[in-house]
Amino acid sequence: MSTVESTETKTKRGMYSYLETGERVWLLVVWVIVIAVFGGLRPHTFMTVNTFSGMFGLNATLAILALGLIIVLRVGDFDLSLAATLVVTSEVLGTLNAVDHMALVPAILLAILCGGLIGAVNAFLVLFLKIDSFIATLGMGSVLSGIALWITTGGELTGLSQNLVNGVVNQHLWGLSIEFYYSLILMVILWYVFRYTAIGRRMLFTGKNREVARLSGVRVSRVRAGAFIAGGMIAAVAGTIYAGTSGTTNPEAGLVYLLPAYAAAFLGATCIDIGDFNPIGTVVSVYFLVTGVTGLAILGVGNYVQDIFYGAALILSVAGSQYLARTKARRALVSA
Amino acid sequence: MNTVSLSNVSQRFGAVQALNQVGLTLRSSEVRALIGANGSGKSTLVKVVAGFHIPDDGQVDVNGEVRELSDPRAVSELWKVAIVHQDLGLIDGLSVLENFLLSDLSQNGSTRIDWREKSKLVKKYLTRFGVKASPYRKINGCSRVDRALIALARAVWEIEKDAEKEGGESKPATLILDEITAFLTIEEVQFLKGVIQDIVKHGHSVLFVSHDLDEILTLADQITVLRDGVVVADQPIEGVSKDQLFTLIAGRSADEFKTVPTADIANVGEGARVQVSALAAGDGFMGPVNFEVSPGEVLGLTGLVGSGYERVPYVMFGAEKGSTGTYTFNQRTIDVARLDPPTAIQLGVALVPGNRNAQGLWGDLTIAENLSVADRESRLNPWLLSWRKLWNRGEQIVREYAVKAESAHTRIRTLSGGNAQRVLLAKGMAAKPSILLLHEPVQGVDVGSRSHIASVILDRAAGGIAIVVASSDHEFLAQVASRVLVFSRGQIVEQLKPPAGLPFVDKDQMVYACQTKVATVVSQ
Repeated sequence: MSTVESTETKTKRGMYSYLETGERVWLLVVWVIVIAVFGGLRPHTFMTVNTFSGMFGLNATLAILALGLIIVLRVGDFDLSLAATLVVTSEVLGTLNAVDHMALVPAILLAILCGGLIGAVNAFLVLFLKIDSFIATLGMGSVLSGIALWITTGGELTGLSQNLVNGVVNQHLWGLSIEFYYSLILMVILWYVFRYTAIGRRMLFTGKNREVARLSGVRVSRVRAGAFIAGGMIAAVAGTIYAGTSGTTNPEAGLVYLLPAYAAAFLGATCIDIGDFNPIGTVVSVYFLVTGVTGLAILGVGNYVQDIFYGAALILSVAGSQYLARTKARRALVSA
Repeated sequence: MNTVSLSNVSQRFGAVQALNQVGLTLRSSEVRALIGANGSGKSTLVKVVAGFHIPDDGQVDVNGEVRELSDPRAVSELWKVAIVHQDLGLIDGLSVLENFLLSDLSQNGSTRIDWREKSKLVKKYLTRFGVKASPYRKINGCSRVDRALIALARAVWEIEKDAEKEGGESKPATLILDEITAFLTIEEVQFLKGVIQDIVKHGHSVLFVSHDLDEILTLADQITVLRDGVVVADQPIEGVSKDQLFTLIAGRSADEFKTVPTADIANVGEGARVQVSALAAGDGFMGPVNFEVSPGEVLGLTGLVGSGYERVPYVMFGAEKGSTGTYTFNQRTIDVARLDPPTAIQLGVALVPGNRNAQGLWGDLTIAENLSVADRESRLNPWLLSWRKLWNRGEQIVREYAVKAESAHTRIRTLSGGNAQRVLLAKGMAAKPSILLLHEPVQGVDVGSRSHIASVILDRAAGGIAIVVASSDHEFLAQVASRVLVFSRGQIVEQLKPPAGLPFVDKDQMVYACQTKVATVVSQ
């Protein structure tokens, strides 16, 4: 009797894990299909080294910003000021390096420090003044973009150190700009922190249910403050990559990264670690979204498609994960 | 003179006959108390009277016209009922006036509100009920007693407004007050008496539901006592004593256990005791109270809902801001005002909160993950967590606490209440505490898990932990507690010890104390 039961549960578990693995990597499968479709439609323009090195090599800014974002999302907060943080910190870097002729490395470190300070201000607004993070960071985002315009009096800053451009985009490894690998390194670091450190677990506990975390002895405020500060610092890293990629800084251009970053973060939460904001899913989503936009551009669809594509991806991924959560709950009920 | 009589009301839930041929008569100008122990069918009957539940069988006779309860529309044409629940049903952020208009606005599709006229009308009701607040005051700016009065005024307004509209003869109306007095002081209850008498003077009948025998004796004219779904008494309250009332409810004489000789608790070294002094919640609803609990002892805390016993575990854990008091153990004095949960855990204090889903466990995470938060057994490196160790530990707990789950990777959400509660208890114990604080540890838990949890609690106490169980589940306390403190209106009013020769406090003794002992000093 018991042996029959145990084989039954075994096959059930086998089916289950097979299904679960399928669910986990669904986006990778779709991504391959999307590449195949575009490749089939435009074999000579889409399936080229240039296109691919452009897609992967030149979008590290977005990938890194999205990774900064998931730190904040993972503890259950929002940060809508991250794109503006990216812009301001790149302006700080530009001003220090190009205008004040500070050496590159200290200028980058100061820019990152500045990102951390912005995160600290957000944390103060949310945790000390008890403003909802959505509202607090929405306001901060506007304040920061105003400051960015003020720093540069509205124009572009040129004359950044050539070393920055070399270190970010000109050096290549296996055919791709070095910045691509920066985003992979950050992804691996976050993956490790989220999965294998106590701090990473406390972040998840806080994000999953703040009250349970508090009563379990997690210092919830400290965890949330840390997430805002880390998010700000990583946005500053993204700002540095942005400045290096374009060789200039622009007080407005960086702001467009906000929505794609959210789209990637939420789409990323529907795969790999389903239901959780996770770094691998996020990076896969970034390059999936970039593939889609690039492919559509090559098909000759106008620039407007970017906005539609990113917005639709954000909405669909949230709708999809809600649906998944519901069917999962139902399935769990049936099996119990 | 209106008379509404319900008769032959029967309701069966599965194997339980919740109501068996119950009759209930409500006359205008009368306050009838509906009383009975938990599970006596009282709440089902309240739902039937309020029209929320259609019983299997039953009729209502309104001034001679008989209708089947299975036809709620026909009943509501003859008889109007309004109910005030324990939570009062007021929305904090809205004004008194807006709260009055809630039902109007949700039912009618009227497009325009005449604020001036409505506010005049509401003002009239507020004056009648002795509320000084303006109709425009927000509910959160009103005192406790004012809130209760506002809820009452609103219910009476609901009853009377249709009659006013129709202008003609009003149909019989009943106001149900469902345990609305738990948060009020005795002085406030006295004030309420005047208000209720005013309500019945207007020709309405009042059905008053309460566990507090003193309140019943103060407020009611008639009583209906339910026991196991049957009416065991239907009589005027005149001449009924508190003990007689209790005998009616419990079905056994109060004398049997009121004066039972108590056993001595084994003496523990003075220094090892946990001495709690001047413990008080920040909002003034609990304390200051003093008590002590020894290692190896299971101390029960109980009382009626809202009496403050349920706050003690959270206050002692440092989870409630603004609370004050101290407690000592292991030659250390802990100042509650400066305590927070992480510090409490470090000092060896663990909390098992009452609400599994909102306070205790992460439903989305697995058993192993939930347990990992407080794990001190696995000696984990915080910079390189060993998932294998966490999983092994989880598996060990699943076996030790006999959790019915496929493995430690099972998500909490998919577990039954009883199994989730076992995990929650294990999570509290994972920090190896010296003091374990539990709030309602068997709420919504199956019978098997109840006895399992009871045996775990007793086993851990035997291992030398001081355990405090705050619960209104007297049956459960009677399985674990060797001493019980009874709370009323924020104060400890009674200490109960087991009958001679027995290990645990008697259940009926707890029920009796909860319903009869009243704090003379009101905390605030």
